[in-house]
Amino acid sequence: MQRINNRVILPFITAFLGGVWVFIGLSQYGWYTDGKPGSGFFPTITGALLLLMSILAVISESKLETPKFWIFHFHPIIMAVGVVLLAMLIGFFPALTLYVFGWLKWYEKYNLKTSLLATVLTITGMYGVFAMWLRVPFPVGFFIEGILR
Amino acid sequence: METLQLLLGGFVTALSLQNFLAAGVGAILGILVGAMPGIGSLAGVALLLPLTFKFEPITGIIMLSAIYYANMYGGSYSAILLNIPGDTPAVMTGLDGHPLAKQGKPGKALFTSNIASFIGGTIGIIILTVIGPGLARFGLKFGPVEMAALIFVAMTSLGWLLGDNPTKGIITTLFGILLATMGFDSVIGTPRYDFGSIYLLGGVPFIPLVIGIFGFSQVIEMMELRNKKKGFDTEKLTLKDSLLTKDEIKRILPPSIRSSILGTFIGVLPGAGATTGAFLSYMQEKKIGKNGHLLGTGRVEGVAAAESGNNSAAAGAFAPLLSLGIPGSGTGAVLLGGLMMYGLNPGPLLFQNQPEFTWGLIASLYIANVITLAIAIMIIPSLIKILKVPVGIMIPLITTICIMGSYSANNSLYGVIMMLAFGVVGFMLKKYGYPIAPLLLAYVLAPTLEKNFRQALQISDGSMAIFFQKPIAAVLIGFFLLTLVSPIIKMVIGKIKTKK
Repeated sequence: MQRINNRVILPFITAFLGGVWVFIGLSQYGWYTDGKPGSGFFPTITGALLLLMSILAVISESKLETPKFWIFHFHPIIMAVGVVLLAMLIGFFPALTLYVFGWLKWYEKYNLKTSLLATVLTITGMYGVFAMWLRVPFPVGFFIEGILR
Repeated sequence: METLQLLLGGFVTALSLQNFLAAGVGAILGILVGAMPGIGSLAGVALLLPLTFKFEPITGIIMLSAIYYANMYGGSYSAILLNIPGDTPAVMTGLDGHPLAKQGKPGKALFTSNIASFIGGTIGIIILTVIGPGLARFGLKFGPVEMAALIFVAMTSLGWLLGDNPTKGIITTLFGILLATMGFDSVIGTPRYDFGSIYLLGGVPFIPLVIGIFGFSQVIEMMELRNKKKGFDTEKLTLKDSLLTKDEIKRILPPSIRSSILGTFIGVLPGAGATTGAFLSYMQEKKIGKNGHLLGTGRVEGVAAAESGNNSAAAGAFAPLLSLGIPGSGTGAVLLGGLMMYGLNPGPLLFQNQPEFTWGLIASLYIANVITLAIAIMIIPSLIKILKVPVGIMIPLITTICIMGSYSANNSLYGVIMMLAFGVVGFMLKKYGYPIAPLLLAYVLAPTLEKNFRQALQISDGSMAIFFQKPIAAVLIGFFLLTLVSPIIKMVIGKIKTKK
């Protein structure tokens, strides 16, 4: 069986989105209301054009070579999702500290001194600018919130 | 002559120790905030607004203006060094700035950016001084019809901005517009395409989108470079080596001057702002520049065009703000709020009733421009050291900046989740050879286009003829049609020539 070229996945997705935009635009928001362009006017035109261009892309892309993806491409995504989940539990800065140190020490295999130094500099810098200077209220996490209550 | 006298009087006000220091501090803070991805000039000026309340009105506004102004310088640094634009206007700077940094010339890119910003700012302020009130009146002639026509011209250029495949460019442009239609309909204020989600009611958040598409996608790409122990190839790290050669100065001067004039005019238009200024200036250079076809591969001309375009637009935005009380951008609106909080009412009477203040402010822009340039050049050696950091350390560092920046956009983890999602989208687009800059610029320009286009059609009861009845719009639409047809004409001529 011939393998499907993964290059067509993206235009398939954009074609689907274009179709959804046209359908919702016409059925829910309206093309023209009271003789004036309605809420669906602009999105419908955009969606229709995207659908058309995506179909053209599906045809042209299927002839090209398939690019390769590796599992390591997804490691930063998995780690960042982990940081978000951990931030909800133990707070933003502890989660980021663990992430930066963990990545450097165990993933990149830097020595303890370099890992610690880079972590301290990064987190202190970020804390100083965002939390202290710009006063962005970062979440402290369920655990700390629970203790504070 | 009278203008010159008033300006000199303004310099006397601006050069008092207190005002001079305020401009200096504002310049430093502006550069720092501008370089922070996710903060941007609008949020930066808004966040630093309370700092200025401790001063006299003139000192406070001078500081605020210097912050706004220096923000434009700072925004380009992270775009050049890390490919994460500190602000939207810097998106265009990154197109050539980051490839230059990757080629081992980060100092050249930063130096070009600073010099072009200075040229853009200076020309913008000179134009503002001489014909500010007149320009503002001309800007007022741009109603919905003219604005829609102007954005149409901009949009036609978007698809062909980058890449060899126009289909892909158009797809990313349309995808950007599609994302911009989510949230509230800006004309009638009703929600649309929110899919029942409370988060999507406000639309796709801009800052997480920028950081994800440019910054986090870069992190995923960098995973391929992990085996390299060193960072990018940065042999030249001294200030001396970063200086531009005579040939490079010759190359950046014409685009800087052209873009500064265009940028100032764009800045004057209500709602256009520095992003449109940078974008149209870059497009102008791509079309008419001597090396226009090479833009996007790491050319100093590209950095110069974008930077002088956005800085001159930032200066131009003061014309409608001061003489008519109309802000040219979101940041202008914050400045307007600041002026009003000090009890000043911008408008035609401001120049007459408060000449000391108005001309003091304009003079302080000249001073802020010089101070910002001096500071910006001094920090180049420290900045380019960032690129010496090994890729292995850069990955968690940039990820942390991306997470912090996207969180602080709306103080919500939703911003971080959106950033991660768009990071993946950006990576996939790049991997399949789709240009990502058109997506972002279409996202920024689409709401203005839709609003003005629909308002124009409302005025004409749905007739497209209105675009040909108004002289300015007719000229712009003519240019728009020419842009559409010219590639086909070129192709036909080329085919005829090869047949012969």
